[in-house]
Amino acid sequence: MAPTQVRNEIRRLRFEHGEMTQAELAERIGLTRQTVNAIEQGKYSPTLEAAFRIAIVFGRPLEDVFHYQGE
Amino acid sequence: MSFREKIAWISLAVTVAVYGGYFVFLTARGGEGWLSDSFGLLMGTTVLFIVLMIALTVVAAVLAPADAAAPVDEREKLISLKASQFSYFALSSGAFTTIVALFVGTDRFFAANFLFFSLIVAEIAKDAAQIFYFRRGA
Repeated sequence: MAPTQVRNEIRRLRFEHGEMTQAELAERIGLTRQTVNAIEQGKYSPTLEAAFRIAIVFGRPLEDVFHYQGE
Repeated sequence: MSFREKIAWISLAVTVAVYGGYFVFLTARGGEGWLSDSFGLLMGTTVLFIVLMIALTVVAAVLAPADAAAPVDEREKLISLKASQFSYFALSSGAFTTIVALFVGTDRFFAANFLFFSLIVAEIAKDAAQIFYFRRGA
């Protein structure tokens, strides 16, 4: 399966927010730790709603967290 | 490994072991009327399947209670839906073949078991597809 074209800064932002674990982020946004890991690794593009929830956790606008790298 | 992936692995292993055994046993007997008394065997293996699935699911839940209690998330739902496409194709192909076989006069016990075989293939296809998507991304 082709990797997603959506890149993200979740890993960096987690560490900037007190080294938040994937499990902690997952709990706050209502996803499983495995899904957060898949998003971080670019194996899964979250829904718009989940993407907003992630951005809200980090207190950043959506475009600071996710970048589209397609043509 | 997520709880739902564990369940997919458990389902795949139990399905292959229990129903694989059922079909191997059935075909190994062979001979005249070899399928005519398979109903009891079918019911027995189905009870065994249900018991094993419940027992192993409980074990998986006890080993990771937090994962088991977590609601299904959006990625898991998507994986389930994608895997169902494979399942539907396998089952509908088997159902159509069974209908054609019955119209041309195939033995009803053979037809019933072929339809059941299609159901098992569909379940295996769904479990395998789920595992694939969990591993490779969805």
